[in-house]
Amino acid sequence: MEKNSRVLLVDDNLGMLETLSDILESHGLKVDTATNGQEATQKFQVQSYDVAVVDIVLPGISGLELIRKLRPDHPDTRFIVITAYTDTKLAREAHEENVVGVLYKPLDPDKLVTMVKGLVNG
Amino acid sequence: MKKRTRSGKTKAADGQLALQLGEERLKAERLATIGLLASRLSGELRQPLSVIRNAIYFLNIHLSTDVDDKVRKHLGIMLREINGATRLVGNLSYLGSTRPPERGMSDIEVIVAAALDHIVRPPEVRIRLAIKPDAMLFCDPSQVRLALANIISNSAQALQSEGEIKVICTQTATETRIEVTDNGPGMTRDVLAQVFEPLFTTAEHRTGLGMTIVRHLVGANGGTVEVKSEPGKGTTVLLRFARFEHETGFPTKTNSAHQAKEG
Repeated sequence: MEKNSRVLLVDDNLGMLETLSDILESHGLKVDTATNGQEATQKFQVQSYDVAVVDIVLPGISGLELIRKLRPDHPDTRFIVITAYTDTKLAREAHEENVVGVLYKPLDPDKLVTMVKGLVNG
Repeated sequence: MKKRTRSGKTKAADGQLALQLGEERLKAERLATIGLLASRLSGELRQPLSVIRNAIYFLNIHLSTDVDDKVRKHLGIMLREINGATRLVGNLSYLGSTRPPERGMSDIEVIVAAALDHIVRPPEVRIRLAIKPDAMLFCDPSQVRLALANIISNSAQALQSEGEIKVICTQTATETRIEVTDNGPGMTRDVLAQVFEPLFTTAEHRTGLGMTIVRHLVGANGGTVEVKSEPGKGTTVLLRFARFEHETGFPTKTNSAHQAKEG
């Protein structure tokens, strides 16, 4: 499996995927995108990622279920959770998962870039 | 045995109390419904706001240095309006929120600067800051920022055109005080009495949720809110937070009570 400094963005909102991937690529990062858990799992079967930025609410399995499913086979991947719903049960659960951070939408792009670059370079 | 009868006066008082309790229950139910709807709406609105903010960020980092200043100015205007909308969305989500504050030592100057970034004010409205350097507050900075943004936004709205808003922060060994004062038209006693009522507003295009949220957020961070206002004499909103031992470096009289409350 190829190992590059890569980032996977998982969000069912195409606007989020387009803008965030352009921003992260502008900072020299290699970015792939997926719109649901199944697509994300398939991408992980082809290669591993240093960082995965995962929205909590996804069609099919939730972002948190996806992280729990991926973790055993990809122990080196660091996960960042993003969500638009600040007070849902899932958002509270996200804080209890072993993730690097939980960021609320509207995101501060600078904060996300700093967080991702720190993980990739660190 | 003769049945005891209650006096007419007592019955009337009981009726009054029942009516009052009924009104309180209705008010609580109404607020709960509004909270649920508001929380869902805010989640939906966060998506497009986030995408637009990302797009503005991308354009800003890719604009060449010789781009017309007006182009940058317009991107700045878009960002400012997005921040204003984000504040409203934040208000909506906190209405239905039960999330406890994530409190930590936070720089008050940074919180006030971020609050000012989230308000839309006419250029004629001057802001004067007098914040004790390095003043820290044990709080959830995003919540206190949102509370201050609401207060400052209300002041800017009250001033309408020219005027001044002062944000003053002082600290004693036991207390942090953040005071927002404007020299606007002030409020009548009737308006002042309703200032924390949900949906109460004197402006047609406002939600009337700002001060309800302010009290909720400040209370969640262990503070209190006082509003002083008189027609023609402007308005002052005072936030008071008790200081903790780890903030001041030495024991304070109020610490033990507050820490016990924190549990």
